[in-house]
Amino acid sequence: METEILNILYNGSTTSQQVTNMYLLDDNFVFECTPLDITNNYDICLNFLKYLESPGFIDVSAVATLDISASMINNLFIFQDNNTEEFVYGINTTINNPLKFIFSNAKITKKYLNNEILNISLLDDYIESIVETITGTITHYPERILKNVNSLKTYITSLDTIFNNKINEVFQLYYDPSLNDVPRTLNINKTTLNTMEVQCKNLITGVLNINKGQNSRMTRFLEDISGQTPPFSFIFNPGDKLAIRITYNPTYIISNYRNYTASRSYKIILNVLN
Amino acid sequence: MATFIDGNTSSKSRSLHNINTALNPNIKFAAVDYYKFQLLYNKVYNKLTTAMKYYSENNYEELLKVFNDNEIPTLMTTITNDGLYNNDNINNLINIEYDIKLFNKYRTATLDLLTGLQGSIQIQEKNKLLTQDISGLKIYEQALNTKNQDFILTYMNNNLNYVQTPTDIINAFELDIEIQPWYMEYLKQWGPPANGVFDLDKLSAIVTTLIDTNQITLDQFLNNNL
Repeated sequence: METEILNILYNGSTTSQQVTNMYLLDDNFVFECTPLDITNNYDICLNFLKYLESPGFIDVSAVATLDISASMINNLFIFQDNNTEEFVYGINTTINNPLKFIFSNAKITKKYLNNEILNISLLDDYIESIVETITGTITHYPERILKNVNSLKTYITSLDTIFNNKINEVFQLYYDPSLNDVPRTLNINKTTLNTMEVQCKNLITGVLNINKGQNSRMTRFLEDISGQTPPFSFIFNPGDKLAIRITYNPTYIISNYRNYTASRSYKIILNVLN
Repeated sequence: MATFIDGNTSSKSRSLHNINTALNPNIKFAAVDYYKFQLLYNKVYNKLTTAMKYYSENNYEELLKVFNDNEIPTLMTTITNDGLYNNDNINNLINIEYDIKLFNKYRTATLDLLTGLQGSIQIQEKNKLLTQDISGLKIYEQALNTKNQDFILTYMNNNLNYVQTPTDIINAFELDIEIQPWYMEYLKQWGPPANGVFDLDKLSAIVTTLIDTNQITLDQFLNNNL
């Protein structure tokens, strides 16, 4: 079957670069993990827009969604007030609870030439993209052209571990070691924020500015921390979305023919279920 | 007739024919050799010391003017041309002027040669260091040209205090791709289809050939296309 070259949106999140890296979808935010921002479709207070000016990820090949439990990411972004009643921000290590996302299972919505819309896995999409790279053929049945689809799938799936390892390395590199102190604390004397701490600040600042309706995200955020003692963990709520961008950079080796280099990137939207 | 010349305006010439060579027959041969050295100096060494001076001063622009692809063959020919040094004038010590400073000129030239050699050694040492630098840089060049992103990211992490965010994770790898034989043959014969759609006439001819030559079976083809 031939398909149109379409990588359909995830509820408004497209393969193209977002103007901002945090935005609201169906009253839930999507945080593209570096500086936050929102789309113009939603009513966000002006100071938020002024503060958060970074764009989202650069263009990707496809957008995929992966449902996760909030507990997987709840303890990553930490904050507390310092002696001057200002917040300090920190990142927690994942060393005791490594992130293990099954990226290959992420879902992608694709529309085919006959207007059929299918939800396929990132893994299937990736295999289809191999065929497209080599023959230019867009097909939902890559096994008709490729002999070793199963072994390819096994290898691509195994890359999930490598991606996760890299992600966990980043958290290990940027975490605030004061979190190991007794009593637990952030380094309240820090004068500069590292890259990930800036993201933490942007996440919290962004949420504090989503104040629409009685049960606004800001309200729920304040409720979440009311039951905690410092340092506070950012609690993800159902519907919150944390976006990650992953890129595959393979060389396709075809014996007795030629090699191809290809790059395929995905915006993975981690959709918090519960 | 051979005469002495010492380079001074007051220098006087005198005949070598007054020397009693019968007392020491080697004197004449020594005199002949002297004039050969003198000729060698004037024709070759004089130019070489000039070149060596420029070389020692790293003045390659001037060096190339006196020591270039045109001059080098001329100098070599001058050095090896036996006829130049074994002519009648020299052998008979006729019409030759004695240069009393010739020894000092050779000594100065030898010093210039030593200076040049020292410079050469220094340049060689610099070349060694540059070669080491280039070897190190080639690693980076190769990483950049082959888009070895793992290497690049590791370098940036270690040296530039940079780390990719968890939101932008890159992975490089190789995949062995196996193509169904009829499509493989199509690609070899016709290349990828321009619009991504394989030409059925061409494909069916390939399939027929593969079946006829027992490279595939009809079932094998059908099972992979239904």
